[in-house]
Amino acid sequence: MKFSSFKILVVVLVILGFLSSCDGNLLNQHNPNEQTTQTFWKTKEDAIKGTNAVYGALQLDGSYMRFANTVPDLRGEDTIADSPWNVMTASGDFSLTATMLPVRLMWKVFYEGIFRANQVLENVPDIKMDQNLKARLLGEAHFLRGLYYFHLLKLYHNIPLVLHTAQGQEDYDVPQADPDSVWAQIEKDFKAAIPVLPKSYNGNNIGRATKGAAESYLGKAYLFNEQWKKAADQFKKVIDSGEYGLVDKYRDNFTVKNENNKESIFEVQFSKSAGGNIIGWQAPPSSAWGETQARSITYAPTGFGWGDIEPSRTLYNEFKKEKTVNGKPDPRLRASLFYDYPGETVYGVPFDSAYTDTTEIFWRKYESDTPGGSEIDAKSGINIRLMRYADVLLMYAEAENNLGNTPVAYTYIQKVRDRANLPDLSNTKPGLTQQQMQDQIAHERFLELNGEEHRFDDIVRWGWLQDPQKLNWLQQRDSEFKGYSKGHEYLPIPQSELDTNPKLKQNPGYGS
Amino acid sequence: MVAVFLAFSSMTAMAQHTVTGSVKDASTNKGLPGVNILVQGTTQGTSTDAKGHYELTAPSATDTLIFSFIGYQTRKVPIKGRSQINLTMQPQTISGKQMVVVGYGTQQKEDITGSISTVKSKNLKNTTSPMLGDALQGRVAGVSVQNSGTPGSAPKVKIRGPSTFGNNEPLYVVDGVPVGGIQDFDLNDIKSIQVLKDASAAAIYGTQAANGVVLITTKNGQKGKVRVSYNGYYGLENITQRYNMLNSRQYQKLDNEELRNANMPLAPANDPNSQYYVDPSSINTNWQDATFTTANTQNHSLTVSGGGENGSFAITGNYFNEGNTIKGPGPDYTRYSGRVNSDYTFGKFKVSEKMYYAHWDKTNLTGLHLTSPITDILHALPTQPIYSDTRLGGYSGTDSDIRKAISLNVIGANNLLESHTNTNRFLGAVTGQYNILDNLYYKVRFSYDHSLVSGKRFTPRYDLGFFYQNDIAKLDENRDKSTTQIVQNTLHYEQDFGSHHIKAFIGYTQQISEFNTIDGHAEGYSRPYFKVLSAGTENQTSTGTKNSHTLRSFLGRINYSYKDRYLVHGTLRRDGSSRFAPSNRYATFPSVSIGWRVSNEPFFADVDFINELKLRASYGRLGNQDIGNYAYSAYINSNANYVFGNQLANGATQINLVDPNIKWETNISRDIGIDMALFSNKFHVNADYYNNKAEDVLVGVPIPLSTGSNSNPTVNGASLRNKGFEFKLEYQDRSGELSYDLSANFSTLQNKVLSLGQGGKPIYGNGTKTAVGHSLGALYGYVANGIFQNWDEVYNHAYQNQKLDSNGNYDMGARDQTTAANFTAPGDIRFKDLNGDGKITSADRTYLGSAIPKYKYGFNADLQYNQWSLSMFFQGAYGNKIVNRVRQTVELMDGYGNYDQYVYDHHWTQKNHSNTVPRAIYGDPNDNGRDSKRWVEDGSYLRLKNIKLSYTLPEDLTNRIGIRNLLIYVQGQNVFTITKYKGYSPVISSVNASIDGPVGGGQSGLFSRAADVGSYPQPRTLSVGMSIDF
Repeated sequence: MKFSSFKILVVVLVILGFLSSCDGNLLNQHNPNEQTTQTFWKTKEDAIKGTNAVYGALQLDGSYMRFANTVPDLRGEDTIADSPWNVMTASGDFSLTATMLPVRLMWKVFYEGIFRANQVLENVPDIKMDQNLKARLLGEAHFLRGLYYFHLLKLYHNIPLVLHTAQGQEDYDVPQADPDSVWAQIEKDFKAAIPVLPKSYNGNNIGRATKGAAESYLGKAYLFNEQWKKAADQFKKVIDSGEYGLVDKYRDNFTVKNENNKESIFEVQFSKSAGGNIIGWQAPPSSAWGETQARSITYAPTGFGWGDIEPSRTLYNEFKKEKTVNGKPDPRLRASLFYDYPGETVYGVPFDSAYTDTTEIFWRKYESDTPGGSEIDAKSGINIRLMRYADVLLMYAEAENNLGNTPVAYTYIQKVRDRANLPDLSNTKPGLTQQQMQDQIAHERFLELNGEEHRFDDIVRWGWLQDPQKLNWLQQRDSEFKGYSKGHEYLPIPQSELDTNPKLKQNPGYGS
Repeated sequence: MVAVFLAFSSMTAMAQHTVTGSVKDASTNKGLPGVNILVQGTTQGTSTDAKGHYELTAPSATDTLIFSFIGYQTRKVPIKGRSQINLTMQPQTISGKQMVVVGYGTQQKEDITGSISTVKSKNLKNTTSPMLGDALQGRVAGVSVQNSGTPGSAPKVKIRGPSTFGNNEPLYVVDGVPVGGIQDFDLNDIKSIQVLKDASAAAIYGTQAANGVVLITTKNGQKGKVRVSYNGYYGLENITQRYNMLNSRQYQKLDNEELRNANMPLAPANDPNSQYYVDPSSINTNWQDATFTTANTQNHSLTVSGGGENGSFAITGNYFNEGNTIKGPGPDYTRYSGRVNSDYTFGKFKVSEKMYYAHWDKTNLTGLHLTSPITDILHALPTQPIYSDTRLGGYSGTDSDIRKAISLNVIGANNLLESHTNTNRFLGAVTGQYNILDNLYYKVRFSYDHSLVSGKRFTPRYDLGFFYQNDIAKLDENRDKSTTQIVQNTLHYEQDFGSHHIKAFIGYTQQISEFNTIDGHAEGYSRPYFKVLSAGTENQTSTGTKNSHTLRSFLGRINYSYKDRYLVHGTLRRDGSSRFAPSNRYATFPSVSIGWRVSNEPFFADVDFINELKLRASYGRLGNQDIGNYAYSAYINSNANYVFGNQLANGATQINLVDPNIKWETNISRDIGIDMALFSNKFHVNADYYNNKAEDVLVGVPIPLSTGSNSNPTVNGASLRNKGFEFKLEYQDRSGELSYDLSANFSTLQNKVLSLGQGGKPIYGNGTKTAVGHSLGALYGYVANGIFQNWDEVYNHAYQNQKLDSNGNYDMGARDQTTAANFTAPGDIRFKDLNGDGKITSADRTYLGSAIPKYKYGFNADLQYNQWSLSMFFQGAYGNKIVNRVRQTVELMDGYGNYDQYVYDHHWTQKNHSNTVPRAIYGDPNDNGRDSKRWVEDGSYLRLKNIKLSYTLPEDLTNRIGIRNLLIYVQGQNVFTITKYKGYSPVISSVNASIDGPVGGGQSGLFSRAADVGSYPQPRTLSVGMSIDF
């Protein structure tokens, strides 16, 4: 290199060094990936997206992707754990501890849903947009917030009531509320939703909360509080609305083909085709997340999924007590369970060649049962029906029976029995007393709603765990109940939550 | 210096003058081969032969000769007409005028007033790891290194304790360029390493220096003849430690006992009455022996270097490979790298360039889902074979209903799944310098650091039994590109004013960093697999993100000394970072230090056994901004989607709460120290006391989940104190033919959390708690206090999980097997009711020890006897505790997998009333496995980290074949470890991303530092190597 060109090189370096130092905006770097809270909540589209996100919490691991199904189901006597994973067995025999995964995750995701609902309720009112749409979106947020609190209350009983997004440190630690005040809030939220929600949707809005969903849940909330008249009124409104009816085939409630049918009042939407491909177990949502649930793999028969959860022999036997008017087995049995009978196949494989032990029984409900297929990709697109019309009919019957109108109960129970082609109860069991009818309703609910997370709720609200005779009876039906001890009808408050929020107390029965 | 006249200069030709002589090492008085001798101002030169003799013809008898040799002080000797010049050269290590690299310049060692440790390059060679962190382990007082044994994983380095809850890695500066991550760099290139430990040394890097700074200087050429040298070794690695696991017969017996105790049916595979019974004599797999295998490791490095009067160059190429000690394709690490360094001087101008390129390939150990693959190896059932003809993929697995166990076939998973990472990294810097005046120069440096990380993970269809099945083959690929451009402008000034000496510089720098990711995914591959994204038939998706970060800084330093006795240094740096809101963007980091060279005082002249005595003190503030980008603004997650009408419905919402007011972390550093050289510079002592306080530490305040926030908001809430002593002693001498260099370092660290923000709420980690008044990540749990021997003891103790009657009182009559199957019973652990409230609750947990050693130490001995040299390096730690999560897994007797021999032999039964190991029961109704003292072990250890025996071939032998120097050696690494710790190794890496890390996603493992969650065991390496200089 010649001296002169060398000199030029150094001079150029020096000039560049100075020039590059003169960019005044150098330090202004904005997130190029996401909007911020300052730029969001401005338009109609923001309001819709924000509301959609509230529904999103229904799909997470702590909610209906998995644990909101499995934990309540395992606690009932229709379902038993057969898993090497202690979380499953512990859910079944009431030994979940405060540090176990589902205890933490369910708490987490339902409060995530509430956080999202609170954002909508705080921000959408100020957006300039179509008033009817705005009212509807706010109604949806109210409905979902009520639904999430309903879940938290059923699961944990003593919970903080958070109705606003935290603005600073002083808002973080919220003490546990009196359960009655949470019930009052649930009632308030459902009542706020009813007048603004439409009766139905079409097209790309199918699956949103309807007036009927809010009325049904309001009725259910009253039922849980034994406010029978108010409950009956709500259920009657739903029944009289004419929007709903029972589908002909019971199994149509549990497959991917017949989603959002006339029997479905509210269901959690899943889809194998929509969204990405990653199972969104935990962590912040990403565009790669799929919209699938893992209930199906968890409940799937051994060899076609994990087989963590099986129907109980008690359920099978109780079904065997019912015969159709033609003397055939209750069709709901075969729609709900895989078991060995001539012609039975499991995912296309004859039962007796899939299993050497032909006394085994497995769940068919919510399983795809596709010939040649399986559930082992852990991605099922089958929607989870949270509120079915059949449930409303049975709840209405129960409310009326408690109001002394046992004949009305006969009528509405029979609507559900008729679909299964079972004989008329007023012929086979005429003249039941109010208490006998209550027992009959328990039986009907056990069969009709098996494996749909309702049984344990019923057991708790009917006070069976406090009744030594009933508890003993349950222990005969499901030995997992031998692990029950007082207080364990509710889950422990997650240890991590006790650690971070000094205002909380552990639930009774968990060492506090 | 010795210069001897033997005769008057002979009658030589006018223009030419021949000089002969010999060059010797001043300390050993042995001839020095290979010393470069150059006639100043020319390219004429030579070098000494094997015995240190030389002969040189200079243009004139008035020229000056320059003698230079790596590791020795360069000497300039005017010929002054002499024909023979003999001289000695001083090794730099004990020289009086050693220059030390400091931030933005160099400084005479004597003038340093801060705490700076130098790592000798010869010590760097005594490691068979390619990672700088491993080479630092035990070498520098106050530096702690946590290394993972996984090939290609970078060790975690901390200087003077954790000062932040985020990234605690020091700032690495390579040849003046701050770089993120050092794992790509080749140790062979390194000429020297300086560790800047206090503010006075590090504050010039203010913004990024809170964790200390490691300055790395790479080798450049020497003036003189072109030299070629080769270094290389080949070694074998083994994992030698074992847990003592059960054989098939024992496993079945214990598993059956545990299920019987829980009133549960036996696992059919373990039930002699079942058709699925596995005869223990037919299958008895020792999974550790089957999985661990011998690996190869090798390193080859070739350097060509040289230089003349106006320039020099060095070109290095390196290949490194470390194979896998676990059966299967990974973990395996291969690195190729090359470096070209050169500099040119023309009058007042000087330009230098440093270009480095590295490519590495890593095949990862592939585990599945639950725990670490290491834990899975131990957990695997001995009744399970390795291979299976009937399962997809050819490896065995377990069926949940037959085995009632979750058992991963690690060999199967590691062979079936493919995971590769490769990185291409380029770091280039060009520096221009112009000497405006003799004492004033301007310097500008441009640097560009580019790395592209490519990852690829292919999951074929396979069946490894329960939970480990995959029906859809899928491929994930990612490309992560990061770039950093830095411009540094500095103006340097140095001048003597009588007895006053001033050296100063001011500067301006700016940095732009960008980070982009692209991820692709596809599914539905069928055999034969074409492992490219386009060959996927379903679910082809892509995602990507972009991140940028900028930094602008003004900096300056002044060094003042008076009569070489009184030293004052001051630095000031003002930084602006894009990572904070505009109002909090700028911060200023000052430091000041003073030194007193007592030994230069006139009154000290008579003290002849002390050659150097310096007292020094420093104070300063350092900053940290390593908190991730855009953290001050709450963002909207636009993927909180749902489905309506079977179509994707976009959802968007805020999922995290943030604090918009976050600002810089500040680490206030205080240091006092003493440097001494004694007994003719043979004995060196350095001692420091430091007391640092980190303030405004960003902490993810743990907030209740009931807020709905997915993560903890980061606030400037915490403060931490780190203080301790550091000592370094070195003794160098010779006795006859034996020369030796003994050195030792010792450091203490007391870490204390002073505040934690938001009411000082503690942060819980993996069996740990971080709380005000305690050390970071202290172990925390229940106190196990023996075993209930009978029902009376059960019902006389505080409530654990005793059976209650319907009134909520103890059901004292319940003493049957059914009760024992579901509730606390004889054989269960009695936990201490520390608060005496009659209930065992989370309030009965207590501190169970510190994760941080009370002290750490290293001891190095280099012995040389004629052609032989031996070096040994020991390092260790004392006083820390480890939560042995691995042992917790294999001793729990809770049904997931195989168990340890110890619990088989010692657990409580009706006949064996153990008071330490509880009964075996599936479901563990008493939660015997909870975090308690039972899993806490002493983590103290002493390890022979390295031993190396070398032999240098006699020079007259090697010279005959044209080789200047030939050295061969055998070397052992991690040779033995003395410890009470029962796991594979007391040196653990404890990252557990799902639990750890309130800041930045838990990359640090900081809060769970004590937890051994199945660290990859560090192998023992035995290698042979050679180095040749031509």
